[in-house]
Amino acid sequence: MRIPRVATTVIAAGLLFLASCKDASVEAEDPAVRVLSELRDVNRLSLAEMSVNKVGTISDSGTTGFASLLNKLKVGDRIGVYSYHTYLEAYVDLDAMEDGDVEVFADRRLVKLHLPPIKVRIAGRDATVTEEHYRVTGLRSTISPAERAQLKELMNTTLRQELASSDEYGDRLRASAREKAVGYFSALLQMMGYDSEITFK
Amino acid sequence: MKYLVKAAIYLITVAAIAVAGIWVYRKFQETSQVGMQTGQARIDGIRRMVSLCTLEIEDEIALRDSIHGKWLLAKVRLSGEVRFDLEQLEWETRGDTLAVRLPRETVVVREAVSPGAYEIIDTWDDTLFGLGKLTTAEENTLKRRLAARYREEIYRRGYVARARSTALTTLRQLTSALPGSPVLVEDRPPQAN
Repeated sequence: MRIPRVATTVIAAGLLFLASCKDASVEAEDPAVRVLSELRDVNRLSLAEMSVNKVGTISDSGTTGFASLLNKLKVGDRIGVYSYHTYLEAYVDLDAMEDGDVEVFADRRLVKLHLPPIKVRIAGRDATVTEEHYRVTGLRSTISPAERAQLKELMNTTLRQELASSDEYGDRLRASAREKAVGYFSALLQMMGYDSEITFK
Repeated sequence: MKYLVKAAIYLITVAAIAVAGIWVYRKFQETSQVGMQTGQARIDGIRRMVSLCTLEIEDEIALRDSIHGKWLLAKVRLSGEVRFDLEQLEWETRGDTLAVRLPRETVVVREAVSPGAYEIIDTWDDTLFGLGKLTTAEENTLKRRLAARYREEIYRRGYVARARSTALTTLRQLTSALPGSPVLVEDRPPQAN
């Protein structure tokens, strides 16, 4: 049995319409699905935040052995330089404050404030990355999102190692936080007509 | 007839060479390793603040979104914080009482730094030839969209209200220890938020 040409056209148009409907429904669905969730009540007084920049490169020059030989046989160059920021935060945990930490000497118009020790933590990183340089020529394939994600993971690992091995970041941040806390609480108590002595445990 | 057989052999040979060439090229692509190097971390700046953080959220989210017909499916670990800038506290004297008002909150959304916080599961192109890869700018747009949706969800789930309530309690405890006039800690009127 032969199907008339008009009927074929109608069926094809119908199929195209159904296909377009399917795409629309995919676009409309919620693209974010929550997998795991964690919620914490905290009482952190943040006093300083350091922004640390890390740069990473994707290129052929880092390859060795057979991979290096293969890359030399390919036509064109492939290099991408990316960066992003990670944030370090200096804070005091207000939940660690005890009853005797605020001493008021009303006769001398003086308050002695003993703050908990300043702690430093990594407070996250930029989700986005900055493309500092990008050059892909000849027959080389463009740099993929998976490669960028892999580079970011490597940058994160090396950054954490750098932070763990050096006190420079933590010390500078703690010093800034200490100054800020002293300045803020002194001004606040001054506003109330009191002198202050602020120390850290 | 003889001519046709010769032409067929010629065509088959050319096709076989082309297929072999494509196969070898694909093998090259698959086996090649990407060189990755990282530089020394650099401090960009230090920002001083007096910011009270009362709620911390961490979520692992499956991101499935598209831009210009190019799709991204990834696993992202986001962290959210609700903060209050204590330098923006509004002080007001009412008789012998000092009234202080909690400022508007700031919701900070960032990517977590735990290993595997951003993992690509799949990418594909829905356009006619389906050969495009997501550029950095396109991928960043999808991530910004996700962060914006996440921020909205923090409000929708009532986390900000909870964080404000905790912040008020903390401020009351802190100010009660201070000398001088009694301090009254107030929230902002709802319409101001």
